[in-house]
Amino acid sequence: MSSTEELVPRVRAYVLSNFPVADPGAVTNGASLMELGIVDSTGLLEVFEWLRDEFSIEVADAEMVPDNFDSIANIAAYVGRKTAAG
Amino acid sequence: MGDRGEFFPCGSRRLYGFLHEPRATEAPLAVAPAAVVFVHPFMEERQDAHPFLRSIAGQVSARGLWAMRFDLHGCGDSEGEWEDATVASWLDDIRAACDFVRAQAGVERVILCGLRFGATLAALADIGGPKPPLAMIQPVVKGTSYSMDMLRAYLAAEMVLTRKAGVSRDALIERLRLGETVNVFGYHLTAAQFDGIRAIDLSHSLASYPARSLVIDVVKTPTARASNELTALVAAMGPGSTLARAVEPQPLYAEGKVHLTRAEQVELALLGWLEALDQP
Repeated sequence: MSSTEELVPRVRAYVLSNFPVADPGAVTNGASLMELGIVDSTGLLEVFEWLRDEFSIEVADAEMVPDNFDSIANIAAYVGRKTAAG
Repeated sequence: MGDRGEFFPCGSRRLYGFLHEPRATEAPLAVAPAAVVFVHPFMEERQDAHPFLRSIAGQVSARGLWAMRFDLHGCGDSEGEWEDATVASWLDDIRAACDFVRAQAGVERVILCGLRFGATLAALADIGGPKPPLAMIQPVVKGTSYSMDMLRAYLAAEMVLTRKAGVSRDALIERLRLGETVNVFGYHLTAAQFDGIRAIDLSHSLASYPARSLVIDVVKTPTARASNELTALVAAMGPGSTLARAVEPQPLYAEGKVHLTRAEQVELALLGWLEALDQP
């Protein structure tokens, strides 16, 4: 189990290394990855695949909401909740 | 005549194919004359995989074999509407492509190579005669999972577009049952396609595969876990089947940070397997 604070750098490293980002410094942890065009629908599926490979998390249909995946901080918080829940 | 694109018949439709003539600009493979027919992945993956398939087909022809790429019914430049295609019609397309390349190349032997769902279709195709040598790059093994992934792609697109929760996959299946289609990356998935895909299980269909085969597990990093599913598939296929691992940091069939022009480890695995194909 990891805290959200511990997870943020890991999620950030994944996002910045896997998606086209012109200026990594401009992407705050709370910025909307979808509004910035960093993660689109296919990118979202890649995030899900990464969550499955890295954390053994299977994202349920009902969990597919922006509050869980629209920013680095949201993804980290989601992973924290899921891993804490076991 | 050189490399060339041509339409060829499949029933009443025309499919578009691209032939790579053997050039042997590099050391020829020590294998009997043959044509390698490549089957593309589906939907969004087809577009993203195009540079890779073009590259690897070129590598094969540079080593002295014919290579052919083509567009399945309702895809790319081939005729026909996507909604009218079924798993059965896509399998017919592969047969037609093999017949065409045999006639054009003057070789009887065809080797099938596919990527993702293209590999799955290649594995199931009846191309006449005994089962062909088969190379599958990251194949879809279970249609149940793949069909649900397609529906998930719809949900992902809906979430990105509307910025809120969408319907469930169960609701999408209900729509299919009512005769509606589900728009997956612009392709209208039909109930017939969905059911045809769901029925596929390569572990069952390819048990004790009678010809040589290669399964390439493509991973992003050297430390990535091996696919249990592909390991089990190779075990089910029997002693003529080989499992190879290719580390490719850039995706072969998805948008990556860098435009992929070559997938060297996949090429090495495929060319090495072709080289050893006729050895006991």
